[in-house]
Amino acid sequence: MFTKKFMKRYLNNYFWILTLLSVFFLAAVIRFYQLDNPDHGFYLDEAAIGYNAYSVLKTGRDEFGKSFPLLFRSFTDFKAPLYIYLSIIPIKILGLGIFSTRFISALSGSIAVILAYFLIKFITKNNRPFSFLAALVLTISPWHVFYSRGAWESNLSLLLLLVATSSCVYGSMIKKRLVFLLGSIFFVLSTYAYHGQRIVAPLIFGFYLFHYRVWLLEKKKFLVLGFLVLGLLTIPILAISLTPGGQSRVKSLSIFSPQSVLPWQNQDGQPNNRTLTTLRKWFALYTAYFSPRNLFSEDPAEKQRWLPDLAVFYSWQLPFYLLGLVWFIKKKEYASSRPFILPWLFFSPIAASITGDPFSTVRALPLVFPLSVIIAVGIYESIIFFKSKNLKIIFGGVLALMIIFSLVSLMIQFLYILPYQRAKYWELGYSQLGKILASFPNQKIVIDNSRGESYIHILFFTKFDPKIYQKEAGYLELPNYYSSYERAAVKKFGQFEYRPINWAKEEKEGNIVVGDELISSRENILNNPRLQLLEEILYPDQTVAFRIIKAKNLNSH
Amino acid sequence: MKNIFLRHCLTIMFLVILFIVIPWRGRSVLPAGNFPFNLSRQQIAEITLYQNILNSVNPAFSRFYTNKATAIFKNFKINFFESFDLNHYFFANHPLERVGVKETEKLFSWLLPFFIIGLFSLNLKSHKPIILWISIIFLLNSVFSNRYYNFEWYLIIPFLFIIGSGIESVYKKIHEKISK
Repeated sequence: MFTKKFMKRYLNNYFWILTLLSVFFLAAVIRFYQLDNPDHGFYLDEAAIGYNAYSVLKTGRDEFGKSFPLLFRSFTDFKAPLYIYLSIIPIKILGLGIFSTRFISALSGSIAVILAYFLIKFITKNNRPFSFLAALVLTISPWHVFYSRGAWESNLSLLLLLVATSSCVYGSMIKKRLVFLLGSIFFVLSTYAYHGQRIVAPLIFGFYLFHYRVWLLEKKKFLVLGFLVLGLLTIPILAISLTPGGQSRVKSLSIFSPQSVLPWQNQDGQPNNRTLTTLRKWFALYTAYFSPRNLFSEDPAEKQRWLPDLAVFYSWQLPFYLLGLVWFIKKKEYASSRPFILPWLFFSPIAASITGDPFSTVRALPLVFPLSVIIAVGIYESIIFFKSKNLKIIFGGVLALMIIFSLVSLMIQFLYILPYQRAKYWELGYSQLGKILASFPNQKIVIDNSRGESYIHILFFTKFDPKIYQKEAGYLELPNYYSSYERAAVKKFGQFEYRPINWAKEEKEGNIVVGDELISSRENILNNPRLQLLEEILYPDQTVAFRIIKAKNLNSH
Repeated sequence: MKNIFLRHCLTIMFLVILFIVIPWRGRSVLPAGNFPFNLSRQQIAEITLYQNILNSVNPAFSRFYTNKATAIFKNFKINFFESFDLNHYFFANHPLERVGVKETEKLFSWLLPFFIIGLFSLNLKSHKPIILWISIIFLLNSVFSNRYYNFEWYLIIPFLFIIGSGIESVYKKIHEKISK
């Protein structure tokens, strides 16, 4: 009897370990497959992250020569530092490239799925099927996959928030305050990974502190010590948050800034009170993060940060979202989970909703976790709802088919549709450009600076020596590193000059000129004896990404 | 008992006043209506483009993945989600205002919390008619886009009912707290 029971339990454990491993494997495959394919594009923020990590690795300084900065100035968007510092490891091992730059995010996404499983398992007191469903919904969620397949700091911060919550929950379960403290340290770390978490993390952590106040207050000495540790860890980010650089994102994006344009200005019966209208606008932006239209219907307006034909969740998940919400709020079985999931649900979109964007998927990324849980509640309760075993099997079969179809659709979007439809927004062609330019080692190359910040792609794909770059061009922005918004429009580094094109000068010096299709028409180049079209790099739709032109000085002969 | 009757009367009175003052008005149906079944030239071109992109995967798959049926389904989805959106009713569709559509406010924004509380106080069994009513209107809106047709006006009664339920729930909670 004992052996039979033991065996059953053993096999059950074995089954769930295998299931979990399969989910992790699936998550990793979806997130890592063709991650380094240059034909899928590589955005300038990713290039900046990769090159700055490379620069710190080689010189201990960022592209501008700042030694181990707390915020990376980049394009004066002052990037959070943790992702860049962590990327040093894969870049050291694998070399500077697309894969190594995106590695931390893809790995974070894969681990997040497993963590989500264990977190739900803790808070539901070992409900493995439900935990598995929540992890599965997160695994296949287009929202989470999208941000795992690019070098996005917000994805790392989501993982840190999950680690933090898991530690706090686990610490409270096993009554170990040290584990709880570890969780709170991860909450602080998440603020070093992404700016938005400077608002979201304290809110979620504050709620947990309040929830566990009785237990935590039992040992006041430990609480004081804990706050001391957290205070020390928070000082650098707080100090940097007070600099103009640290506030740049808040100031430029906040709907509360005086420059913010308010809606409903020309409608009848609307109050003229700016404060009231701003508050109402915030309320509208906040509720938009729970709107089925945003969550389950594709957004054709968002070109760069989204897939062309998918929403952040699949349309077939809408009924489970609605039912899940009702069941999660109303059913007694979820009473113990609510204090952990609801803070995530309500606080995650706060940072995003104070910016003017209608639905910022990157800033509200933590929301993907509670919404996955809600959808999982809907699916799990629907399975329970069917009493007959046959109906359960039919429901499971339909669900499996939907998941397979969704996964196929997701991969089709990533591997075929996105690179074609959004080639321009994902800045395709720079990898090829880097290779071509490397074949002209002794030529002066002028890159048109009128559109974009292409210098960073050139630095990245030519693996330009950071030491030389810092010395020749980076120093331009070093004074007032955290406080100035000025950007050097003209840069000169090595054989490259990043400036407006002056054809007379280029011809006189016999330079190689690089620009997009607007630099000069094909006919103009072919009809001009002083210009030679060396190469054209095309987008998948055959429009021109780059023209590489050799300007010739005919007078010298 | 008397208290409950009084509460119901007050709620109904409030809802009647709301019905009179809310900006949600019926409007005349615009003559030019686009049905999901009618695909535009742009949509036909997109089908061809997608089929060309996916031909490298498999020609049969490309036709299965994108075709007229999927485009029609997409139109249904767009219509459905444009009406199945709280911001459409409470914030004149902000922040997702549509190009070429004069977005108007239907219900006051401050009623939204009561609406949400009312939604959660609905009982899936006893409030079946209300849920069915709303579902039918949303299904109609999937076919007859709310850009051109005004079927959503028939949501006013169930929406006011839900708001009323929300107000009653809040009142009940406050009353319970005071009684304790």
